[in-house]
Amino acid sequence: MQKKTQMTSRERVLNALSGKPVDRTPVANPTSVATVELMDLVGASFPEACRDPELAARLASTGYTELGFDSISPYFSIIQESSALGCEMQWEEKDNWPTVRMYNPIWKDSSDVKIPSDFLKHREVKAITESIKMIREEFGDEVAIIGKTMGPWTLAYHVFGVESFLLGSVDNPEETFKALEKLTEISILFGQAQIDAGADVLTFPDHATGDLVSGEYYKRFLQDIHTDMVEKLPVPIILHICGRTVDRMPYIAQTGMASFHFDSKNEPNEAMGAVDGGIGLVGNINNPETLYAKDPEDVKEEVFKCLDAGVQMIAPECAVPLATKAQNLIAIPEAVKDWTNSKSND
Amino acid sequence: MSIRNHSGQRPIEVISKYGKCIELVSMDKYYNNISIGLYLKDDVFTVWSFDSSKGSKDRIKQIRDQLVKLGDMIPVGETDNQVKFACSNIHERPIKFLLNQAVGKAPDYSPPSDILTIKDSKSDLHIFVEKNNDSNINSYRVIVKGEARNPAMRLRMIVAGFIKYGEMQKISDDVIAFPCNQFHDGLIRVLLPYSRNISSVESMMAAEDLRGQMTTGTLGFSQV
Amino acid sequence: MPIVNESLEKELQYVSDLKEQAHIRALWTKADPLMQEISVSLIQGKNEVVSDLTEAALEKGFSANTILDDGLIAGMAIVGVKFRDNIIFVPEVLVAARAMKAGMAHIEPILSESGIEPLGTVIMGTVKGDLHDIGKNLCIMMLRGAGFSVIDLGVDTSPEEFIEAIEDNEANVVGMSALLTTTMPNMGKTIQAFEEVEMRDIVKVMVGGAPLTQEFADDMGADGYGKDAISCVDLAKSFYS
Repeated sequence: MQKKTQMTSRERVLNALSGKPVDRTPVANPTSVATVELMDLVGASFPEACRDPELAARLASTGYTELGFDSISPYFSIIQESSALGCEMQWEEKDNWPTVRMYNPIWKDSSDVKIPSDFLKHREVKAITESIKMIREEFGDEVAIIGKTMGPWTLAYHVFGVESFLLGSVDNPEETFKALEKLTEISILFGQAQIDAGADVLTFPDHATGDLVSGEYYKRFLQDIHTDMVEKLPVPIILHICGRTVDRMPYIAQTGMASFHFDSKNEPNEAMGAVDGGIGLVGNINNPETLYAKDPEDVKEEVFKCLDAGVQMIAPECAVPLATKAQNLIAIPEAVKDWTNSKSND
Repeated sequence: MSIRNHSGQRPIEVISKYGKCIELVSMDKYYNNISIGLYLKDDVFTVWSFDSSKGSKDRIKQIRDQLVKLGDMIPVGETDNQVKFACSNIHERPIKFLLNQAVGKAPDYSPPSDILTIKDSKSDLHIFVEKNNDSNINSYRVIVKGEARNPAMRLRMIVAGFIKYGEMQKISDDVIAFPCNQFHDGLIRVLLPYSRNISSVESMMAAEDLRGQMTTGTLGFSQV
Repeated sequence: MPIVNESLEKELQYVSDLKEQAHIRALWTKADPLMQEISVSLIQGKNEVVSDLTEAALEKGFSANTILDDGLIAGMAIVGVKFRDNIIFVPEVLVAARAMKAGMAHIEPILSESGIEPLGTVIMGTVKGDLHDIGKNLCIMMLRGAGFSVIDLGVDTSPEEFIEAIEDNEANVVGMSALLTTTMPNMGKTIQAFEEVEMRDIVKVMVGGAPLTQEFADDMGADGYGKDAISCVDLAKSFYS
């Protein structure tokens, strides 16, 4: 339902996530729109922008001030908490993502899972919470601040190693459930800290992706945990799972989460059918083929396709490639405005 | 300074002024790893970086001057960051390779010789490219000399490489021309290494494209 | 001999390509029922059962090679097909690979104790920057099972580490694995490093990994490309023959 009165970006995002009327479909970045061009613009390059709150805040703000998105998200990668837990990190250079060295995992099983007493004071955690405070102070209620807290499945990959964790899920599902339960405490702790700092929304990536595990695995191991997250964190939550996820979307739709951020491997119409009104959808502009490699006209075409399908919030499908050109990201909100105008002229 | 302010020129202004960014080099190792973009409006190319540090303008001029030297382009007016081709055509695909060379090679790099030649990477042949003007078409003849199992096949593949990466037209089995019907020796020199081996260039470009992408593979989650 | 094992017959139904199905059926109809049982236990990821059955088969007089080919490798063929067709996912592949390893633990010592000279030494490693090793580990199992002595350099292997291993072990065959397109070029860099130390002409290089192709292998200057673990063994044998 469209509302004619001009809304703030923040109102637009929050309304869309709660199914209320909006003046136009919001454009969000539940993951990241950091790029090398924007890093140069504000002097905040990776990896320092992942470790310093002011640099993170400066870089994240460009999503709103320069690209025209309706949200600001200062947690760009997926490794902040894992670094704070003590995982070995590969920080990389400006044009590449920091990753966890999972071949050297820090823990063996659930009995090892402990949240360090100074977790919230760790540099990588404060980089996020302090940057959220700065963004809130600067922008007030203008724009939605989207924080991010990693889900227990992703944390398990980082702390136990992917192979070890997945083998364990077959050998000893009870132990896997225990590990996930304990790791969820980290997700909640970090998520709440961001809410306290001023986050309006939380993105919740949990990499039970289609190229690794089945939809039934999602239902068995994660559906209940994700449902509980909704009770435990008092802001709208956007679940993010990469890859082909149509087989698990019906389960995701039952969790009560505000929205599901879906990947371009799923057609918008197909995804809308799979969730059948049970959850909102955010997405799903293709990153490597469209945003990275093509032109603004191609971006517009994809945005229109998503809007025609009824997607509630438009976004790139995942963290945008760091060498994405600004013109293609600017094209996204412009395309939404064009589409909205064309509908109001109909 | 508040976190929303910065001293640089905004992307939307740059796009309005200089046109579409057709190529972006994400890190310039010769100047503080800044990103370098090549923008195109009408027939004018602009070298641009959003970095506004003191030396970045000088570095931009250096790159622009390398485009002139390596690509036989002409500077635009009194600008320090703009170039065009004398033919006023775009040559969009080859200029991307040219930009990467202008940024990636040392600032004082010069081509070793005027002769358009290179050793083949897949055989013991040497490749020569000579200017040609049969039937009043300004074209280039590709010649291979030396030993190979199938020189005719190598010649064919090299010609295909020029057509693909240079957006050139095939005049005959060994003669190619730019669509503008002009000579562009600089572009031929830039394209020579790439034209030898399309599949490895494609692999290299695919690998470079994957840098900075977030996928299950690049995150380290893929297992098989 | 027909496929007597009902579970194995059921597994064969997962192979939707009829030609492929016929090929695998032909392999299994030649196999003893005990081999068929090993195959199905491997497919089901029952590593302790595979271990026990392998031991029992050896006691009954089956050769290590027969158990490897007709029991273990035959089972992994089905696992590969099911994974490719999204019938099973990574956790199931991992448990099957572990079951394979459990069987190999009995077979490898027999082959190396046999008094037969190893066919040769193969240096195996995943290239610099790449941390994937399942494919490499499968190849190593197969190579050892086939009678090769294998030095496993692990993951993230630099060109210098490959060179050192070749020198230390007087190896003539190197196998490199990569699973990321970003790390594939490191295969070319490693081969270049061999050239720089004038080692290239004494070493045969084979490459493998999911994103690789024969064409890529040729471009990098490799001597061979193995599309799967069995091809890796065939290549190694051809290099040493």
